[in-house]
Amino acid sequence: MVTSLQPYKTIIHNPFYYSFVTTSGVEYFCYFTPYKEYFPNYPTEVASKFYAFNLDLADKKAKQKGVDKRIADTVITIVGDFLNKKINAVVYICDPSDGKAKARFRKFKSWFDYYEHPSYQIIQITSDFEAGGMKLYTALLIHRKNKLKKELVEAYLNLTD
Amino acid sequence: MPSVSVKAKKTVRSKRKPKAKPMTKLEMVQKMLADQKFIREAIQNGVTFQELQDKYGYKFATI
Repeated sequence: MVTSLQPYKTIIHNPFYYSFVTTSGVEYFCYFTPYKEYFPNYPTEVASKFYAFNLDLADKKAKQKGVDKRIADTVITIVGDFLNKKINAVVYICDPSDGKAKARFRKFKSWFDYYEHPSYQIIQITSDFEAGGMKLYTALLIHRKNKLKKELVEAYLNLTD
Repeated sequence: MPSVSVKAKKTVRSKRKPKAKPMTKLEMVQKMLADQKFIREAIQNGVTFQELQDKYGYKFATI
Protein backbone atom coordinates (compact mmCIF):
# COMPACT_ATOMS: atom_id res chain seq x y z
CA MET A 1 0.00 0.00 0.00
CA VAL A 2 1.21 3.48 -0.80
CA THR A 3 1.35 5.71 2.20
CA SER A 4 2.14 9.35 2.61
CA LEU A 5 3.48 8.87 6.11
CA GLN A 6 6.94 10.18 6.77
CA PRO A 7 7.75 8.86 10.21
CA TYR A 8 10.99 9.71 11.95
CA LYS A 9 13.47 6.93 12.32
CA THR A 10 12.59 5.21 15.56
CA ILE A 11 15.01 3.36 17.75
CA ILE A 12 13.55 0.34 19.46
CA HIS A 13 15.09 -0.08 22.88
CA ASN A 14 14.23 -3.70 23.37
CA PRO A 15 12.10 -4.77 24.96
CA PHE A 16 10.42 -1.71 26.42
CA TYR A 17 10.33 1.52 24.48
CA TYR A 18 10.84 3.49 21.30
CA SER A 19 12.56 6.79 20.90
CA PHE A 20 12.86 9.25 18.07
CA VAL A 21 14.37 12.68 17.52
CA THR A 22 12.65 15.39 15.49
CA THR A 23 14.43 17.65 13.01
CA SER A 24 14.40 20.38 15.64
CA GLY A 25 16.31 18.08 17.99
CA VAL A 26 13.52 17.19 20.38
CA GLU A 27 13.63 13.63 21.63
CA TYR A 28 10.50 11.63 22.47
CA PHE A 29 9.91 8.33 24.24
CA CYS A 30 6.98 6.05 23.47
CA TYR A 31 5.95 3.03 25.47
CA PHE A 32 2.97 0.92 26.40
CA THR A 33 1.99 0.01 29.96
CA PRO A 34 -0.46 -2.79 30.81
CA TYR A 35 -3.88 -1.68 32.02
CA LYS A 36 -5.11 -5.06 33.15
CA GLU A 37 -5.60 -3.89 36.73
CA TYR A 38 -8.27 -1.42 35.68
CA PHE A 39 -10.50 -4.15 34.32
CA PRO A 40 -10.91 -6.43 37.37
CA ASN A 41 -14.42 -7.46 36.41
CA TYR A 42 -13.35 -8.93 33.11
CA PRO A 43 -11.74 -12.26 32.32
CA THR A 44 -7.96 -12.18 31.96
CA GLU A 45 -8.21 -12.85 28.25
CA VAL A 46 -9.95 -9.48 27.89
CA ALA A 47 -8.32 -7.43 30.67
CA SER A 48 -4.79 -8.42 29.70
CA LYS A 49 -5.23 -7.00 26.20
CA PHE A 50 -5.46 -3.39 27.36
CA TYR A 51 -2.39 -1.17 27.21
CA ALA A 52 -1.93 2.53 27.76
CA PHE A 53 0.08 4.43 25.20
CA ASN A 54 2.46 7.09 26.48
CA LEU A 55 4.35 9.72 24.57
CA ASP A 56 6.78 11.78 26.61
CA LEU A 57 9.51 14.30 26.02
CA ALA A 58 12.91 12.98 27.02
CA ASP A 59 13.78 16.41 28.37
CA LYS A 60 10.96 18.19 30.17
CA LYS A 61 12.42 21.58 29.27
CA ALA A 62 12.47 20.84 25.55
CA LYS A 63 9.77 22.46 23.49
CA GLN A 64 8.52 21.48 20.07
CA LYS A 65 8.14 24.65 18.05
CA GLY A 66 5.38 24.80 15.47
CA VAL A 67 3.51 21.89 13.95
CA ASP A 68 5.56 18.90 12.98
CA LYS A 69 3.40 16.44 11.03
CA ARG A 70 6.12 13.82 11.18
CA ILE A 71 5.56 13.38 14.93
CA ALA A 72 2.00 12.31 14.14
CA ASP A 73 3.27 10.01 11.39
CA THR A 74 5.73 8.44 13.79
CA VAL A 75 3.17 7.87 16.53
CA ILE A 76 0.65 6.46 14.05
CA THR A 77 3.27 4.04 12.80
CA ILE A 78 4.28 2.92 16.29
CA VAL A 79 0.72 2.45 17.56
CA GLY A 80 -0.34 0.93 14.23
CA ASP A 81 2.44 -1.67 14.44
CA PHE A 82 1.43 -2.49 18.00
CA LEU A 83 -2.20 -2.99 17.00
CA ASN A 84 -1.55 -4.75 13.73
CA LYS A 85 -1.02 -7.99 15.61
CA LYS A 86 -4.81 -7.80 16.13
CA ILE A 87 -4.49 -8.85 19.76
CA ASN A 88 -4.20 -5.77 21.92
CA ALA A 89 -6.13 -2.56 22.41
CA VAL A 90 -4.61 0.79 23.29
CA VAL A 91 -6.07 3.34 25.67
CA TYR A 92 -4.87 6.90 25.58
CA ILE A 93 -5.54 9.24 28.51
CA CYS A 94 -4.60 12.88 28.32
CA ASP A 95 -2.88 14.22 31.40
CA PRO A 96 -5.06 17.08 32.70
CA SER A 97 -2.50 18.40 35.19
CA ASP A 98 -1.32 21.30 33.02
CA GLY A 99 -4.76 22.33 31.77
CA LYS A 100 -3.88 21.36 28.19
CA ALA A 101 -5.62 17.99 28.14
CA LYS A 102 -8.36 19.04 25.73
CA ALA A 103 -5.94 20.50 23.19
CA ARG A 104 -3.66 17.49 23.51
CA PHE A 105 -6.60 15.17 23.05
CA ARG A 106 -7.85 17.00 19.97
CA LYS A 107 -4.44 16.69 18.41
CA PHE A 108 -4.07 12.99 19.20
CA LYS A 109 -7.57 12.26 17.95
CA SER A 110 -6.91 14.08 14.68
CA TRP A 111 -3.82 11.93 14.08
CA PHE A 112 -5.99 8.84 13.95
CA ASP A 113 -8.66 10.49 11.86
CA TYR A 114 -6.46 10.14 8.82
CA TYR A 115 -7.69 7.87 6.14
CA GLU A 116 -4.84 7.45 3.73
CA HIS A 117 -2.43 5.43 5.82
CA PRO A 118 -2.22 1.94 7.34
CA SER A 119 -4.17 2.98 10.41
CA TYR A 120 -7.39 2.98 8.40
CA GLN A 121 -7.62 -0.50 9.88
CA ILE A 122 -7.68 1.05 13.32
CA ILE A 123 -10.94 2.00 14.97
CA GLN A 124 -10.87 4.94 17.32
CA ILE A 125 -13.49 5.40 20.01
CA THR A 126 -13.36 8.44 22.20
CA SER A 127 -14.92 9.07 25.55
CA ASP A 128 -14.59 11.78 28.11
CA PHE A 129 -15.79 11.63 31.66
CA GLU A 130 -15.51 13.40 34.96
CA ALA A 131 -13.90 12.04 38.08
CA GLY A 132 -13.16 14.02 41.20
CA GLY A 133 -13.85 17.30 39.47
CA MET A 134 -11.42 16.47 36.65
CA LYS A 135 -12.49 16.15 33.06
CA LEU A 136 -10.66 13.29 31.42
CA TYR A 137 -10.26 12.83 27.71
CA THR A 138 -9.63 9.29 26.60
CA ALA A 139 -9.54 7.24 23.43
CA LEU A 140 -9.52 3.56 22.61
CA LEU A 141 -7.68 2.32 19.56
CA ILE A 142 -8.24 -1.17 18.29
CA HIS A 143 -7.70 -3.09 15.08
CA ARG A 144 -10.85 -3.71 13.06
CA LYS A 145 -10.02 -7.39 12.86
CA ASN A 146 -9.25 -7.90 16.54
CA LYS A 147 -11.18 -11.03 17.53
CA LEU A 148 -12.09 -9.59 20.91
CA LYS A 149 -13.17 -6.24 19.46
CA LYS A 150 -16.70 -6.38 20.88
CA GLU A 151 -15.58 -7.36 24.37
CA LEU A 152 -12.74 -4.82 24.44
CA VAL A 153 -14.93 -1.96 23.28
CA GLU A 154 -17.59 -2.86 25.81
CA ALA A 155 -15.05 -3.02 28.66
CA TYR A 156 -13.59 0.34 27.67
CA LEU A 157 -17.00 1.98 27.49
CA ASN A 158 -17.89 0.60 30.91
CA LEU A 159 -14.65 1.97 32.32
CA THR A 160 -15.30 5.43 30.96
CA ASP A 161 -19.07 5.41 31.51
CA MET B 1 4.36 -53.69 64.15
CA PRO B 2 3.08 -51.77 61.19
CA SER B 3 3.97 -48.18 61.32
CA VAL B 4 1.09 -45.88 61.52
CA SER B 5 1.51 -42.48 60.18
CA VAL B 6 -0.56 -39.92 61.83
CA LYS B 7 -1.05 -36.73 60.04
CA ALA B 8 -0.30 -33.88 62.33
CA LYS B 9 -3.19 -31.59 62.59
CA LYS B 10 -2.46 -28.18 61.37
CA THR B 11 -2.70 -25.84 64.26
CA VAL B 12 -2.06 -22.68 62.39
CA ARG B 13 -4.32 -21.76 59.58
CA SER B 14 -2.62 -20.55 56.47
CA LYS B 15 -3.14 -16.87 56.15
CA ARG B 16 -5.24 -15.82 53.29
CA LYS B 17 -4.52 -12.59 51.62
CA PRO B 18 -7.45 -10.26 52.07
CA LYS B 19 -9.18 -9.64 48.79
CA ALA B 20 -8.20 -6.30 47.37
CA LYS B 21 -11.05 -3.86 47.52
CA PRO B 22 -12.10 -2.82 44.05
CA MET B 23 -10.95 0.68 43.24
CA THR B 24 -13.49 3.41 42.77
CA LYS B 25 -13.42 5.23 39.49
CA LEU B 26 -11.78 8.22 41.11
CA GLU B 27 -9.07 6.06 42.71
CA MET B 28 -8.52 4.38 39.37
CA VAL B 29 -8.11 7.66 37.54
CA GLN B 30 -5.82 9.04 40.22
CA LYS B 31 -3.63 5.94 40.02
CA MET B 32 -3.52 6.01 36.21
CA LEU B 33 -2.43 9.64 36.20
CA ALA B 34 -0.02 9.27 39.10
CA ASP B 35 1.69 6.30 37.44
CA GLN B 36 1.88 8.16 34.14
CA LYS B 37 3.44 11.17 35.86
CA PHE B 38 5.86 9.09 37.93
CA ILE B 39 7.17 7.21 34.90
CA ARG B 40 7.48 10.40 32.84
CA GLU B 41 9.41 12.25 35.53
CA ALA B 42 11.59 9.25 36.32
CA ILE B 43 12.64 8.91 32.69
CA GLN B 44 13.29 12.62 32.42
CA ASN B 45 15.47 12.32 35.49
CA GLY B 46 17.55 9.54 34.03
CA VAL B 47 15.89 6.48 35.57
CA THR B 48 15.97 3.59 33.09
CA PHE B 49 13.00 1.48 32.07
CA GLN B 50 14.78 -1.53 33.52
CA GLU B 51 15.02 0.23 36.89
CA LEU B 52 11.39 1.26 36.72
CA GLN B 53 10.52 -2.37 36.26
CA ASP B 54 12.93 -3.93 38.76
CA LYS B 55 12.87 -1.31 41.51
CA TYR B 56 9.41 0.15 41.24
CA GLY B 57 7.44 -2.76 39.85
CA TYR B 58 6.17 -1.03 36.73
CA LYS B 59 5.48 -3.21 33.75
CA PHE B 60 5.86 -2.39 30.10
CA ALA B 61 4.64 -4.11 27.00
CA THR B 62 7.30 -6.04 25.18
CA ILE B 63 7.77 -4.48 21.79
